[in-house]
Amino acid sequence: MDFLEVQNVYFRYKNQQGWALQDVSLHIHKDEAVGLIGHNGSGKTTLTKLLIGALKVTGGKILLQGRDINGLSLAQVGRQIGYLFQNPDKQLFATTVEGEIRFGLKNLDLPETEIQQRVNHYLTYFNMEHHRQDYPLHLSQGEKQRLVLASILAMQPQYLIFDEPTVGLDTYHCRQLEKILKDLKHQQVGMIISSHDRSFLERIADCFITMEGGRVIADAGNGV
Amino acid sequence: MVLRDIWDPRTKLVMVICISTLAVVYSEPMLLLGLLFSTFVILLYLKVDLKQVYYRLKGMIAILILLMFVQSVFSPDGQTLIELNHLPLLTTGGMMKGLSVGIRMGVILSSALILSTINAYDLMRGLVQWKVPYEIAFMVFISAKFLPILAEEATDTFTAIQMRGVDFAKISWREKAHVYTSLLVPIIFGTMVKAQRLAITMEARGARAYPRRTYMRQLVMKKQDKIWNAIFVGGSSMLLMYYFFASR
Amino acid sequence: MSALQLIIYILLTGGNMQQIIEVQNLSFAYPNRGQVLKDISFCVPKGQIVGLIGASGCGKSTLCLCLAGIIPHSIKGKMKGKIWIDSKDVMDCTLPQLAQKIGMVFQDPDTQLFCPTVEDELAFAPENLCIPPGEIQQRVSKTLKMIDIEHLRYRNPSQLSGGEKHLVALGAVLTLDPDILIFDEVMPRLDEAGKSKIEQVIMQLKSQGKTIVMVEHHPGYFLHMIDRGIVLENGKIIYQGLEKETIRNFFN
Repeated sequence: MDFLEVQNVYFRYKNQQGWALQDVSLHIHKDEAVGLIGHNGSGKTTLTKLLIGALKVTGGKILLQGRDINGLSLAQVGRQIGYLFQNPDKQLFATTVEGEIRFGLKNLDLPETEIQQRVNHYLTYFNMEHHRQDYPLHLSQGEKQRLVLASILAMQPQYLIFDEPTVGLDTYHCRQLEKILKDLKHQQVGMIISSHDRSFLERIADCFITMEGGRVIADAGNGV
Repeated sequence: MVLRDIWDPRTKLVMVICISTLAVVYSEPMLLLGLLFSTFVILLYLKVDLKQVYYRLKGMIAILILLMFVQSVFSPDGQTLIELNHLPLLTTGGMMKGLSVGIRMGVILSSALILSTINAYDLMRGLVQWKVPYEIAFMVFISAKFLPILAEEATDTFTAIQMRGVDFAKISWREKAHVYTSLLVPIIFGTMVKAQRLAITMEARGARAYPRRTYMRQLVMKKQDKIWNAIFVGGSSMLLMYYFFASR
Repeated sequence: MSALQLIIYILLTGGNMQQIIEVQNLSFAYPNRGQVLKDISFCVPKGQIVGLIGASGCGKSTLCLCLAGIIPHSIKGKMKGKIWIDSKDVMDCTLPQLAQKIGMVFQDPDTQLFCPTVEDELAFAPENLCIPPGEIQQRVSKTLKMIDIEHLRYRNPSQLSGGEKHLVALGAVLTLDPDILIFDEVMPRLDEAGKSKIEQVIMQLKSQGKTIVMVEHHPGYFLHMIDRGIVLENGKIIYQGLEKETIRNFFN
C-alpha cells in the first residue's frame, strides 16, 4: 500500500476563479525522498498543504495509508507527517528552545523521562545545547529551521514535508541542511521536498515530480 | 489599455453607505426587498457573482430560523401558525420580523460586496482628493492590502500547532485558551517583521518625505458618477426624512 | 575630514578616482543587542560594481541600511563613524535627499511591492517627492522601457514571477534616477532565467555610469560581474580587494 495516494485531485481557492490544482494523481512510497520542482505559483505549496489535510480537496481524494485524509484531524496527521513551512517563524510557539521541543512531546502523553531523553537527544543531534534556554525567535534563520525540524523529529513521524527549505539560508546552512536530510534518508525517513532549486534537490531526491500551472507535468523515478 | 472601473471608487463608497444606512433604519420587508433587489442589480452591473451572497449568508440561515421562533414567542402578533399548549410557537408576525432581519443582513452583506470591487489604491487616491489626510488614507489601504496575507499566515500557524499534537476537538476550554495565547507569539512577531520591512522599503522610496505628494493619475469623477452620487444621496436622504418625520 | 585624514585618503585612493561611497570607522549596535558592525572602513569608486559578501548575520544588511540613511534617520541605535555619499555626510542629508542618491532593492519581494499595478509601483517614489504628474508619466515610461518590462505595466505585482518582481522593485527606485543601486540578496531566490535577466540589467546600469553594490551570502552567483569584493565576517571586514580566487576561498 502506498503511504500517500493522490487520486485525481482538483483544488480551487475560495473566492478565486480557476483551478489552483487540476487532475493531480500521485503514488508516494514511505521510504522515498521525492523532489517537487516548479516555479513560484505552480501549485507546489497548495499540493503539500492538501497532503496534510490543511486544505480540503475540491474534487478527488487523498489517502494517507489507505485512509481518507478528510477523516483525520491535523493532530492525527501530525503523528505520521511532519510539515515544515518555508518560514520557520510561523511554527515557533514556545519561549525557550527546550520548551519548543517539549511542546509536541507533551501532547503525545509520553512519560517525563522519555520526554527529557528525547529533548536531550535532539538538542545534541542538532548541536543546539548552548541555546537550550534561548528565545526561539531570536535565533538565526538557519537555527530556527533546525529547531523546527528538531521539534518535529522529536515526535518521531514517519514522513516529512518541506516547503522551499533553502529559501533564506546561506551556503553554510544549506550544506548543514543537506547533511541532515541525507542522514534522515539513511534512517529510512521518507520526505517530499518542494523547491525551485533543482541542483539542491538533485543532491538529495530519489525521484522528481515537476509541476506547472497547477498540473503535474512529469512524474519520474531516478535519473531525471 | 487602462483597466479602470466603470464607476469611481468614491461613487461605490457613497452607494454602500446609503444602502446600508437605509437597511439599518427601515424594517418594512417590502422596502428592504426593494433595497436588496437594487443592490443585486448593481452587483450584476459590476459583474459580481451573486452566488457569493449566498455563500456568505449560508452560515446564518439556521440563526434566522431560530430568530423567527424567538420573535414569535416573545412578541406574538399576526396569525398563529404553530402552537404548543396554546402557546404560539410560530406566528406570521414573527416570521415577517425574522424575514426582515434576514433580508436586512442580505442587503448589508451584498452591499459590502460592492466594496470588494473597489481598487483600494484608487479609493485611497480618491479619499485624499476629498481632503482625507494622506496618512490615514494610506493606513487604510495598507491594512486592506495586508490583512489577507496575515490571515493566511495565522492559518498556517494554526495548522502547525495542531500538527504538533494539539487536537482542538478534544481539549478543554482552558487548554484552548492556552493554545490561543501560544499562537499569538508567532502571529504578532510575523506582523511586526512584515510591518517593519514595509516601512523600510517605503522610506527608502521617499514616503512621508513631505506633508503632501503628487499623483501621476488624478481620479476624475465622470458625469455618470456625479449623477449616481446625486441620485443615491438625494434618494436616501428623502427616504430618511420621510421615515423620521412623516411616519410619526 | 581633517587634514590628516585627507592625506591618508589621497594616499590610499591615489586621489584620481571619485569615491561615491566612503565609510570611515563605522560601528553600529541595535538597542539592547550586541555590536553588529565593528569599525568598518571602505570606499567605492563611481561606476564600479562592488560585491558585499558574508554569511547570514554578518551585518551586511545593516550596513546597507546605514548607506541608505535608514539607519540612523529612521531606525535608531548606537552609531559611530562617518559615511559620505557623493561627498555629503549622510547625517546631514534627509531621507528624501538620500532616496534620490541611493536606490535599494530588497530580498523579500512581498513586502516591497504594495501597489495594485506595476505602473503605480513605479510612480510611488516620484509621487512622494512631489514631482509633477506629467514628468512622473515620462519617468515611468522611460524606466519601463529601459528594464524591458513595458508588457507588465498594468499587471498586479503580487501575481508576477520572482524575477519579474525584483525587476519591478528595481524599476520602483530607478524612477528617482539614483547614482547608486544596492541589491540586497536578490539572486538566491531566483531561478536561472531570473538570475541572467537581473545580471543583464545590472551590466546595462553599469554602462550608464551607475555604481552598484551587490550584497550576497555566497560569491558563486555573481563573482564574474564584480570589480571588487568586500568580505564581511561578524561585523568586520576581513578582506577587500580584487582577487576573486581569494574571495572564493573564504567560502570553501
